[in-house]
Amino acid sequence: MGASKGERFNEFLKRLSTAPPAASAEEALALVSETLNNVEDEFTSIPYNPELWMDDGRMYPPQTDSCREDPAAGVVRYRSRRHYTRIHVSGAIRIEEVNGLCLLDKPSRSGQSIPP
Amino acid sequence: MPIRQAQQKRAIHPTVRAMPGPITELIAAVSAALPGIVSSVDAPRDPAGEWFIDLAIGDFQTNVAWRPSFGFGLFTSEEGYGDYPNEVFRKAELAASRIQQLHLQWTSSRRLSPVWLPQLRQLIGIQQAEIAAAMALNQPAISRFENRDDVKISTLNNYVTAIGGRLEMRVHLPGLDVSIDLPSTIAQPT
Repeated sequence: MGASKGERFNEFLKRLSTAPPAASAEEALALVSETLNNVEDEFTSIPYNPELWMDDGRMYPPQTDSCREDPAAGVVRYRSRRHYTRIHVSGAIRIEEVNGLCLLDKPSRSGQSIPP
Repeated sequence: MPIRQAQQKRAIHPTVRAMPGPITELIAAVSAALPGIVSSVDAPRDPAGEWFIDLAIGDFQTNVAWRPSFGFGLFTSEEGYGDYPNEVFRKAELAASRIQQLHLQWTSSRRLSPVWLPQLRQLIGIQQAEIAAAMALNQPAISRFENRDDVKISTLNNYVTAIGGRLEMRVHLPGLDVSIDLPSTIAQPT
């Protein structure tokens, strides 16, 4: 029996929190994507197919067409089922549940954080 | 922070987007079926991207995704991060009917689970007697089949065919990803 989504999500958050910080929004988005894809490749045998838009058991990183405006300056927000992934131009990353609970607050390389 | 407060906070939005017609239809249909339901639309920067409609009534909450090229996506599978929907409906009316089913299920059992045969049949508006006729069985046999905890794949295949669908089975293993089928349903060379 493979790891559950919850277990893989926790592993993703653990790896992301300990990864070297990003210095730009592009680096931050790439870091989120690479970290999640590595976890999914390691813990599942499900091929990466984001075009399908149908649950295949795999977790997918933020896609460019799920990008939204954010009330905070310099921040873009990526929406998924139950989460917001917010990324600042400095490279800071904040992952929240849609009810506002913060799951990860990772400052940028320059030490900047995203406000709640 | 309660979900509605958090969503209201997000609703302070620098750009007001025109609501796509299908989303307006969904909200109208759900509001008619479940008076008092609160809806909040989370618009993407690109209107051709992924929209979200968050719905809440009492302690029932559900999130609906919408993409112009796919339709409405509902989520009843295991929750993780970056999940894709496990139920996709092309039309707002069908998606609203399914949300109504989920609300009813939540009210009675406090859980949401994927579609099984009775819900599927109700969604497409087919009677057990019609399926029985197509499968050369009687209506009580269909009723018993729909309520079994375990079923024969061949009978399930016949049922899905009888309602106009196609059953798919896939196996994911390390290093391979294949569709499988019953030997009896594979066409033999002539």
